[in-house]
Amino acid sequence: MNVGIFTPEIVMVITLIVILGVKYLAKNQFTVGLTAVVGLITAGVSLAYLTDDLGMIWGHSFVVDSYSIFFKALLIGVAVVVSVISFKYVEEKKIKPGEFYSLLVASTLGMLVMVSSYSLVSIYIGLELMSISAYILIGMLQEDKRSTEAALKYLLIGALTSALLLFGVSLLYGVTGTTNLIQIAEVVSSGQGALTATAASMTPLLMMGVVFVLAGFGFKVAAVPFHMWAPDTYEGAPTSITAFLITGSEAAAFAALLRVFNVGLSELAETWSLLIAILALLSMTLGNIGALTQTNVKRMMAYSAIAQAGYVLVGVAVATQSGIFPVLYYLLAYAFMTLGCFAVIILLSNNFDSEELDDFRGLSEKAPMFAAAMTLFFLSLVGIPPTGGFLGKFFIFKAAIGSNYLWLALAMAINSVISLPYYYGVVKNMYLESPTNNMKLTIPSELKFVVGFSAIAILGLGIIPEKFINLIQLAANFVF
Amino acid sequence: MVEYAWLIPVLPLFSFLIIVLFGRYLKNDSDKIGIGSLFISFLLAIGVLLEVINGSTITKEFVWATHGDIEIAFGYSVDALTAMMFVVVTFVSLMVHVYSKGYMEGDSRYKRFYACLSLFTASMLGLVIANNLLLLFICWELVGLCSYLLIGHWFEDIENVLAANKAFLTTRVGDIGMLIGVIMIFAMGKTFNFAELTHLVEHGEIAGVGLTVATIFLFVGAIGKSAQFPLHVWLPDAMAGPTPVSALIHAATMVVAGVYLVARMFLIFAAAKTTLTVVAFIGGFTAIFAASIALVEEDIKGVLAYSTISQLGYMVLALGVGAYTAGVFHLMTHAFFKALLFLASGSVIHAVHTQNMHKMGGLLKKMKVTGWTWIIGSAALAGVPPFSGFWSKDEILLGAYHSDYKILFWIGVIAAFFTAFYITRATIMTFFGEPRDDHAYEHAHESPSVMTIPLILLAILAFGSGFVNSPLTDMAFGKFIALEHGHHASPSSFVQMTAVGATLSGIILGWLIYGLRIISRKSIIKFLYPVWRLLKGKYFIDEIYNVVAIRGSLALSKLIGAFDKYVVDGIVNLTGRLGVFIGDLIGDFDNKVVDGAVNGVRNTFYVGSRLIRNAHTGYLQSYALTLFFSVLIGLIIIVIGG
Repeated sequence: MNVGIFTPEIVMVITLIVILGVKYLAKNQFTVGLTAVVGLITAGVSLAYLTDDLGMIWGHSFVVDSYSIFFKALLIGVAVVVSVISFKYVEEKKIKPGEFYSLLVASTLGMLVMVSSYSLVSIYIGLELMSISAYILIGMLQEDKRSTEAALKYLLIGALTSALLLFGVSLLYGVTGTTNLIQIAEVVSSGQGALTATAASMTPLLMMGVVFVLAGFGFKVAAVPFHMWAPDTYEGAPTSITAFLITGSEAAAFAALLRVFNVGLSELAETWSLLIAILALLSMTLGNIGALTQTNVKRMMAYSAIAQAGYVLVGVAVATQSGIFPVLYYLLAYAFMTLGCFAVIILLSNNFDSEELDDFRGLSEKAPMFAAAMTLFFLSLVGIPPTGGFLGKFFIFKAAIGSNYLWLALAMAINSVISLPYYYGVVKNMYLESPTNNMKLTIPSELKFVVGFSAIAILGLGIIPEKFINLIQLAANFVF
Repeated sequence: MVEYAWLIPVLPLFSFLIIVLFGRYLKNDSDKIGIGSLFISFLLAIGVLLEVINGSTITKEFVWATHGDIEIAFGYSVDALTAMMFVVVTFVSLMVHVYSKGYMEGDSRYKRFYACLSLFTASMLGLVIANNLLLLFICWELVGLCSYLLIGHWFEDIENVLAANKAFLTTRVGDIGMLIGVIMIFAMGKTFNFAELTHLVEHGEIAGVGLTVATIFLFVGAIGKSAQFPLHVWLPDAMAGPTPVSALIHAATMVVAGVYLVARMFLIFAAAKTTLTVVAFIGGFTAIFAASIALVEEDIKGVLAYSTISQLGYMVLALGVGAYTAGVFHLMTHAFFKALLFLASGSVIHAVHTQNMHKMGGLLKKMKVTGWTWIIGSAALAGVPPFSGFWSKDEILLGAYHSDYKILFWIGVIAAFFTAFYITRATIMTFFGEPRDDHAYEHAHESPSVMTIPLILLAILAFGSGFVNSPLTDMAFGKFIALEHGHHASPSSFVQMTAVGATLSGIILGWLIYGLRIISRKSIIKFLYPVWRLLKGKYFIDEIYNVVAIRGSLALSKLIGAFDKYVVDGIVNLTGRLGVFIGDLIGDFDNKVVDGAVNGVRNTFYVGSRLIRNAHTGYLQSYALTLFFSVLIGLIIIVIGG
């Protein structure tokens, strides 16, 4: 067994332990956060040395390939940014730093396991590690009842859907006699199941398994109708954790979803493709309409995230190689624009101690660069050139049309229009309204860095996409 | 008929589901569902028994899961042992169901009570129909659950809750042992099926130390369930439950599950001589140990509880010495007479509202049916010829006499003497002599016929069920139940004389002390004070467990806590000092930040949800409902579209 395959995971575990030790040694909260960031970056750097070790271990249940490395880099990046934007926030909200950062690392570790898994069981284990850490992280604002409520809702609904997912997994296992995705695919295509002899008699049970597994993942990506928890949870959770859930947790879930459905169940693509298309349509529409009337920016972003998940699902519904590349591209761009947005939200949250849309009034006067960057992120979320969001959406759009999902492509276009008003509402507040108070903003330098970096990345993805396309295409080819 | 045997456990299961799901519409008609379904089960059980007597059996199996080359199958089979257990369980359960109509009348959780009774009956019947260890283990756990629920039926009283917990946790200890045994057996035989396992054992494919260890672990499960020493402590406490429950679960059926397990796997146990010796000695010791405690019990149900432990010890002893027929025979007769005794005691408790025998006395005049049926049950328990207990106990002592260890025979004889004494004592204290509590006596009255009719029916069997294995019927039961390899020891008049002698001397002594009062009770206590104290304290087993198990683990945790406090914390504190030094430097900054955060936390709790309240209720249950409906719709789309 080649232990080197696990280098990033091992680094993460060490980081986790070190954080718990540092927590006692350092009274300064920045030190703890910094330890997390250093550990995460080390894990990220170690990814660069992985390419030589491509391979599978543990009976083909854990794999390192370009696909998983792409997602690992993305997820570690997200975790780094989330840690950085939490520095000040953790202090303001009196969150225990040791617990906060170690759980953040643990959750990220779960994601890394998920994206590297080739077996339903190890995917589930990763998913649970990610989720259980997240349950605690969400409830870390001890003085805020909303935080506790958010954590409880996420936990209970999460437990329910975990049960659904496991039930689906057990059905798939029951029919095929294996949890390994490749072997499942072999059994499904050959029709030689463990229990039944013919493909025809296998199909109904497999289909049921597909529905349950889809429900489990649907919950994680907050797709309608499994989204009910999302607004409450995203609103109540610590702001940086909301960003973490919307980007990291969602990306990891999509990574696993793509693997499960495209590798293990590709024979059944016709059916699950339709189901996912329905989820995509519902998510886009309900997410965007729901966002229109929100006054709390975190809640608005929650609905926006539901809608964005809908766009990504369109790419998944395409169900061929042509759909995977756009999904990866979009997830990358989406991570940058969301993290950028949340960095701005955290800035306001740190200063005003609330997250209302009204807080954005007059931001262009108080912090012109932040207001400009926020506008850019919103442009990207709506899908207007020259941003990464535009290209991502464009690729998905193209793939949908290319595989006879014209109606879904049209729905996407209409939805982009629906989404304009609520994004515009924020922009209007920033530029056209006068500030509600004359409080001067204190702007930590790390937030400047994150916002600036995200803005540059969004523009980069939009203006010089060739640099990224080849890399992502390579990763996308490896999904199988 | 035998092909419908699977209906016997399924009917009570349906009854359980109906009561649970539609209980609110049924109100107090739940009892009718329970009694009705059980009555059909009982008739089926009789039919099955008749067919099995004529030689038909059935085995059905289906594959439940496949993993590699290992197949796990579920199935059932009906043979002589199962057919007999069916009749015993359905009959006693039916009697208890009917009796409870009177006993539990007006109870606030009447439906729940019947639901649990039904589930229990279904699980117990499932346990005896299972043809493999896995299904048996599942049912085994289910009956344990029902026992827990029913002991704690009146959970308003903390005592009952504690008793339920104790029963659950103590049997748990046994169950862990059993699970290890099940896994070991499976690891060696690659099957859970009894017939296949027996086959493997007979051909020596499972043998040696592995078999011995595995069977001992399985027997640990039996020790827990059948309340054998040293895991007997839960059964006396379990009497906190309603008396019909004590009769059904803690006397007649569930507690014999351990005995049944050994009987079911008898040929496998028989191949491990060491295990069998352990079984015999545990049983023998428990028989005399529990009987001695029953000598001084004041609580009428307490006497019966220790009596049950002791009688279970007899059954285990019988199996341990290889007297398979005797053990199973005693299981049957005991089920009838002990259920009878419990239900009769329930009738007494119902009348005088106390369980303390010192407050009873002279009740025979007021409660003719209860009194006389109790006396029949006592006679059967004591082993007075020709009551049923006489025949079965005689068989057990005969088996012990012919075994390698003569001491077991004498233990059995002394236990029989004790048995006769304590049940005579209980009978006289309850039903004869002068009333000792006038108030209770004044209000005592015979129970309604719904309670007395089950008593009469059980009394008939407590008297007559022994004849099926007597010379009068040419040992019909033994021939019916016997395993191929079973052997029947030749009768011995010495054994019979000794047994009857022990019984009669026990009864006479009891009568002398409590009936005629020729021998003073006080002077005996004075004379044997240390022994009396030891028995009164039930050998202080609970106290020993308290010190060793409970205090022991507490002490261990304290020790670990101290290590944590002094060693780990010491290191942390040392580093903490360093931190304080650094912290002082940036203290000012820290203070400002903390103060800033405290200021004005605006509660925005309601703001966000107000506008979209209609669509997004915030209620978790509606979220979950949405989720499930979505999955359902997804499934429908698949079914229609796919």
